[in-house]
Order: sequence, then structure tokens, then C-alpha cells
Amino acid sequence: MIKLDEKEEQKIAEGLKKRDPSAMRTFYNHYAAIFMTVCSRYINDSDDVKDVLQDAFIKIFTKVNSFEYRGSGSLFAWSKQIIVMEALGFLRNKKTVPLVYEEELPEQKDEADLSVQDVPEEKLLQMIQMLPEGYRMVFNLYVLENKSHKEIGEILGIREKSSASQLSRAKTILKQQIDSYRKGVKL
Amino acid sequence: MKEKWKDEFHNKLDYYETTPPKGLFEDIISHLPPIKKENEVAITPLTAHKKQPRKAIIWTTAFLSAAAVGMLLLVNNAVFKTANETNTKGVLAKNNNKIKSGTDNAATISVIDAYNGNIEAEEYETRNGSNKLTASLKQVYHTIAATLLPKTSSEEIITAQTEKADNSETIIINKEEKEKEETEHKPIAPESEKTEKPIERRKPQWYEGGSTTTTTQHHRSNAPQMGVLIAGMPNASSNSAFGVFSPAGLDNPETEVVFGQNTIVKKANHHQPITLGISVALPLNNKWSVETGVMYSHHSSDLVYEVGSISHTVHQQLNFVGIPLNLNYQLWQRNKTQIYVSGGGSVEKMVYGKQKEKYDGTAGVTTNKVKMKELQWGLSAHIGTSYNLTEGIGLYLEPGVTYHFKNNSELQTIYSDQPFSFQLKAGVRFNLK
Repeated sequence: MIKLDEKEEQKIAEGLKKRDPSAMRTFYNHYAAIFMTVCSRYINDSDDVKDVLQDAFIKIFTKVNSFEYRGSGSLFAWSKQIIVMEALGFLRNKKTVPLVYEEELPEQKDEADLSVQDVPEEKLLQMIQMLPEGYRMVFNLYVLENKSHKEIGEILGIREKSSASQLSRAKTILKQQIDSYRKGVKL
Repeated sequence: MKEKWKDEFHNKLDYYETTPPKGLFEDIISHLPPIKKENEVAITPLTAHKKQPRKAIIWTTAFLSAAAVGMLLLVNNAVFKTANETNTKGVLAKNNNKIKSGTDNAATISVIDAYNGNIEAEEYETRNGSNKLTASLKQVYHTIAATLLPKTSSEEIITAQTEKADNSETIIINKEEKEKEETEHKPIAPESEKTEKPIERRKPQWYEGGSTTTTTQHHRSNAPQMGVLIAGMPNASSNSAFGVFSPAGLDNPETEVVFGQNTIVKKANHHQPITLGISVALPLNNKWSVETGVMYSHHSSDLVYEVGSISHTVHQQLNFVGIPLNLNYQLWQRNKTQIYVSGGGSVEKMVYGKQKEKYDGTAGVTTNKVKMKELQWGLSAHIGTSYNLTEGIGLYLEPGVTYHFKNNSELQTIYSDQPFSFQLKAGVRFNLK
């Protein structure tokens, strides 16, 4: 992504508020691919990703009037948040199996070392997508959205402890996946 | 330092781009609602919240007026007792009238009305009463309902009045039967009771006299009582910002500026909880009694989490079953009216709870069950006034305050948001002996 400078970003925000088609196009061209990744971290079905992304963009374009420009990166951060909330909302409403199991999971040794420097982005994204939905949401919110377990609990309506134990589960699974990736790929 | 691995994930994925599906932009543009709707969408969550304080005022006013109506009813009846010398039927007819006034939500009653009530009662006397207990309970229910629930349509008022008349008639007949039963089937009853009953039948105005005190007091203080009650607390709301939704993917320090906009605001609107219960009062002596029972409370709350312009709403319903333990001390008594203070505690267990969640803009609603392992302890103090409708049945109204302790549960309840609250209890007590 070519980073927008402050002036450009502000101009796009103003354009979006006026529903200026060229501003919408510029905004889309700049962020759609990143938002695609963000969405894919939460949702593993590509059709669903498309639907969610579409709804989220519509929400961004219709709610941009409530956005206040507060410096460089604020439009991106604000929009990304809408993408995340939309993805979470979608998962909640899917009504398949309960997303996040409330039962206490056995305590796990938290694997502090989860180095992924040698794992390509594409593989890493796939690994996250393969996590069970509940673990995936907690993992994404904690690791990539920098949220605390308390906040995750509030957002997902689960207990703080439950969030922590699901994160450690997710990390265990990821570690296994990374280990097998290394064994398989590295000679 | 400890979470260095998180940085690696950020470095890998924050700006990682994947190709969006073809034609997505065109789809977005074609599905974009016309510009007019913009403002509506943004304003919706705000207006929804502005309504809450108004609702709170309405409920609080309704509750306070119910309390006032209840008090007026009791005072009115006490006045009539001394002003009006009639027989037992007349007294009951006044009860009948009292209920009517409650139904009309006016709580004023003229002496003429009282006599009209008497005539009505006589008219109905020829009908047969069915079940003593049912009739009493019905009357009690309607009295409470009439006091607590303001009727709006005229149709409801008419129905209530007709039923009241029927009930009073059954009680008139049954009361006489009861008296007979009591004198016939209780040969070992205390002497005072034996002698009082016939006098009461012949000379009901004797009740109004000072010596009545002994009779009523005897019944209240020495007979265990059972009761049903309804209680309520005013609704409560809270509003707090508890964290920030930190926008990931921006490493530059300028990102900090964005945080204010992304504060998570948690708004809670707890509707008025409703408590129903059964109580048992055991007298300790003339003045003191212990009261316990079983209570069921239904709580309903709307919790909203707002991040910027996005909201996540949760409709929470919790059901508590609890056991209260109160000590009552009688302060004052005149005729059939008593004033007492009551203090004690209660323990409640949340037996069933669920949350219905909805994300802003999405149509579906998900329902989750919630649990609360912790017990909810509370303290309460009330000032109560009771009025004996008949010898064995007394109505009471107890305004007071409650305090609920923190119970470390993660569930947000009216107890956790408003530990100290006003409470109004109303109910009926039956003498068991």
C-alpha cells in the first residue's frame, strides 16, 4: 500500500462525505486489498468475505459523516474498525455452532515463543483461517487488534478468563501448524 | 517485550494485501443507499438512547404515584372505620368501594359512595359464593393490581368493578361461614377469641373502639402469617467509557490521536425489575416478627457498546430466585392500621439468564445463555404500613431502600450498576391460625 499523506487522506475523507465518486474510487483502490486481508483473517469462506467486505464498504460510505479527521491514519483506522466489527457481526449472526465456547478450557502453558518471521504471509493467513471460529476471533482481536482480554470479553460477550484460555488454545494450534510447516517445507 | 511475537504478526499481516473479488467496487456503488439516508443511519443509535431518561421518569413517577395511591387508600379506609357505623356487610362493602376507587386511580371516595357500596353488596348477597380462598386471593390480586397498575381504558375499569362486586359478595357469605366454623370447630381456642367472636357479630362497631386493639394485635402478633408480594425498583442506567479499540496496523505515534474517537462507550439501561414472592411471617412477641419466604425476580436490561459510530447491542434477561430474611418491628397501631419498620437481608441466585445480541446494521440476532455462579447478597430497610381488610387478611405497602453487594460476577446487572436503590413492596398477608 502506498501510504497516503495527511493532505490526501483528508481530501479523500471530505470527498467521501460528499459522496464524490472519484474519492470513493481512490479510497477503494488504496484500502480494499488490505481490508480484504483483514476480513479474511476472520472469515474463511471467500463468498462470505466478499459479502462482508461489500457491506462494510457501504457502511463506511454511508457513515463517513460521523467520522472526524484526527490526523494521519485516522481514516484508515476508523474504516478498518468498521471492517472488523462487520466481520464479527457476520460471524455472530451465522448461527451455526456457538462461536465462542463459554466453558473453562484446561489451563495451557502459554507459548510465549511464536516466531513467525520465516513463515510467508500467505501461509500465515491460511493458518489463521484454519483456526476454529471462536479461537480465530479471539486471536485476531488480541494479537492483531491489540485488544485486552477484558475488552474482548466485552465485545464478544464472554468472560475474560475464557478469552485468555481460547487465545492460548489458538496459539497452541498455530504453533503446531507452524512446526509442521517448517518440517514440510524446510529441508 | 514479553509479547514480541505479536509484533511479528503485525509486521507480516497489517499491510498484507490480498486481491479483492472482481466487480466488488461496482457492487458497492450499486448497493449504496441514496444520500438522504445517511443522516438517519448515523442518528439512530443516539435517538434510541435519548428516549431512555424519559422512560425512566415515567416509570419512577408511576411507581411513586402507586405508592401514594396505596397510602391514600389505607388512610381513607381508616377514616371510614371511625366515621361510619355499619354492620359487617357494610364494612365489607366499603372495601369493595375502596377497590373501585383504586381502579379509577383517583383514590378519593365520598361517604355517599360508601353507602352506595353497601346497597350494592346487599344486592349481590343472594348469589352463591364458591371458594373462600379463591375469592380472597382474587380480591387481593385485584386490589394490588388496581393500586399498582394504572388502568387506561374504560372497558378495563368496568370489568374490574364487576369482578370486585362479585368477590366482595362471596367474602360476605364466607365470612359468616368462617365465623361459624371458628366457633364450632375450635373448642380449645383461647378464651379471648371465644368471647370476642359473638360480640363482633352483634356489634361490629366495637371494632372501632379502643379495645379492638387487643383483638387485632392478638391476631397479628400471635398468628403466623403467609403472604404474597410484589416488589419493584426504579430502573437505572449507566454510561461509561471503558477502553479503546486500538487501531492496529498503524505503527506511527500519530495513531494515538485516533484513540479518542475509538473509545468504547458502554451504555446500560436496566428496566424496572419485577419481583414476586411468597412470604411467611412468624411472630416473636407483640411487637417483633421474623419474615422470610421465596422471591422471584425478573430483570431486563439493554446494554449497548459503541465504538465510534458502530454499536453492538445486547438485550439481557436475568431471572433470580432469592430468600429474604427480615425482622419487623411494630411502631404504631390503630384500629386495623399498623405502621412498622422492617430490616434484613436477602440472598439471590441467578437461575436463568440470556443475552440477545445484535450488531449494528446486521439483521440477525444471536441468543446466548449466561451464567452467574456467584450469589447476590443484599440488605434492605423498609417502613411498612399494613391494613387488615378482614380479620385474617391484611394488605401492606413497604417503601424502602436496598443495597446489593458486589458479587464479582462479570455480568452487568442493575444491582452492580446501582447497588443502592429505592424499593417498593406491596402484598397481602393471611393469618394461618
